[in-house]
Amino acid sequence: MFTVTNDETKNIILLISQNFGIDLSGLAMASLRLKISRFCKDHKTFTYENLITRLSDEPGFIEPFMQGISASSPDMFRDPELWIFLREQILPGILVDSKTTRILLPDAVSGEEVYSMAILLKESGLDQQIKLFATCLNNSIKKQIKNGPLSKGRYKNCQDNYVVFNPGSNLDKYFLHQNGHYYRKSGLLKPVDIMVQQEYQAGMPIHAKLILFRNRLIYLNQETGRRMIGRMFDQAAEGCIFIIGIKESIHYLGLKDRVSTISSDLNIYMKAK
Amino acid sequence: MKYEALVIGGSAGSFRVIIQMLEVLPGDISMPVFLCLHRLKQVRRGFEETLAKISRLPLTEPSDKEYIRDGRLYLAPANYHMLIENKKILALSIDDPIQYSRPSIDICFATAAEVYKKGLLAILLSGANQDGTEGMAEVKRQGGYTIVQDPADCEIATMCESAIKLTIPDQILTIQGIVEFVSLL
Repeated sequence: MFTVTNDETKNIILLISQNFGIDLSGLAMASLRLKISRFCKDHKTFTYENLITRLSDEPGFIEPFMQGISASSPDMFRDPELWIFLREQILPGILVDSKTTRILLPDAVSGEEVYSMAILLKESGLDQQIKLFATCLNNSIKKQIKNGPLSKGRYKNCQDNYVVFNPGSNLDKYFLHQNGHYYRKSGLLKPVDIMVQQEYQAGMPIHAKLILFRNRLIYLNQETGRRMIGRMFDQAAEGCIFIIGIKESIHYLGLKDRVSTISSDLNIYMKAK
Repeated sequence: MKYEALVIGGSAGSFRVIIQMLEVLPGDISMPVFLCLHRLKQVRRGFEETLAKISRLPLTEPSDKEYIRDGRLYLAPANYHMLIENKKILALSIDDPIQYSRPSIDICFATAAEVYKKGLLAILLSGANQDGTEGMAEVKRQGGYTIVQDPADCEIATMCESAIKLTIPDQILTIQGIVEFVSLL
């Protein structure tokens, strides 16, 4: 099942840091090992030694490796009840006292959350009133967000979620189906500003009313998650709404005294005033 | 043998076995129990509550990075993989399904096997796909104790037949045998 042990994974992290200057030490170990093992299987790299050799000697091998071990993106409209709550409770609320409202999706991976939010805004007729920002780690991911296709299986999951969110409707109107893959129509992302950024940096030119950071923490170790969220909170305005994954925990993040709870079931919080 | 942890995996046809197991699993058991069952991804409520009513152990559908405690039953949440990070912490993942399954029994069993090694007891129940096969093999490789439900006694035998084909389990038991076994833990 696993191609690499914990100790070997630590050696890989060290090698990548030394050879490529990429720091993977903040990632959660068990899911990283799982991703490395899957990558090895997909790339016919069946031993730890073989992986080390390829990472060290094969030009360009690091790029697919990094892509293979990057955090997974949630399916579009994953947890449909959350998206319904956003549509019916959150968005009307954040529009009340602001003319130009901004929503931020930090650390986007392949764009499913960004597209879900863009569709939600369009269908709610709010795409002119609310500006959507996303950040991602590099240009390769940015390209994936804009043009990357969904597999048939992934698309089915997205469709299953969407029909719960919007009964009687169909995601097909937002997609082009070609060669067995599903491509998102580009028009939806025209008003979205996608920025390449290492982690979440201080001084971001955004004063977001809502930050959607779902299912990213599960791929980080506790210390890194705490640091990243701390930065986000320092930058966020009072009253900013903050959403993490339904099964992510706020308890170890050191935020207890900094937030009021909007929905503990859906993990929706507000930066305390 | 004193086990350090118990993992149970099941899919189609396993529910009635699970019910019987939870009814007899001692309430003072001194190890964590991890339950990885294939379930509908869209349905978040009802399942946990139903099992909690039956179980003598407190049942939790854990959040990511939840602390593991002895004498507690951890049910893998719908639409997440459940990984045993170490003896103290559970982790969740939204990686792609394995064998069309999320939660994946393979992932749950394999990560538990790496952590608990000889101290792990793994039980695989009825199911309609091959999830669990690699996980059981990993438990065996790491020295854990493996029990597979007798395919002849399964509502759907695919999962157990597949596991037995790859790994020789320590015991192949009927529902009655499994229930008796866990009642003595």
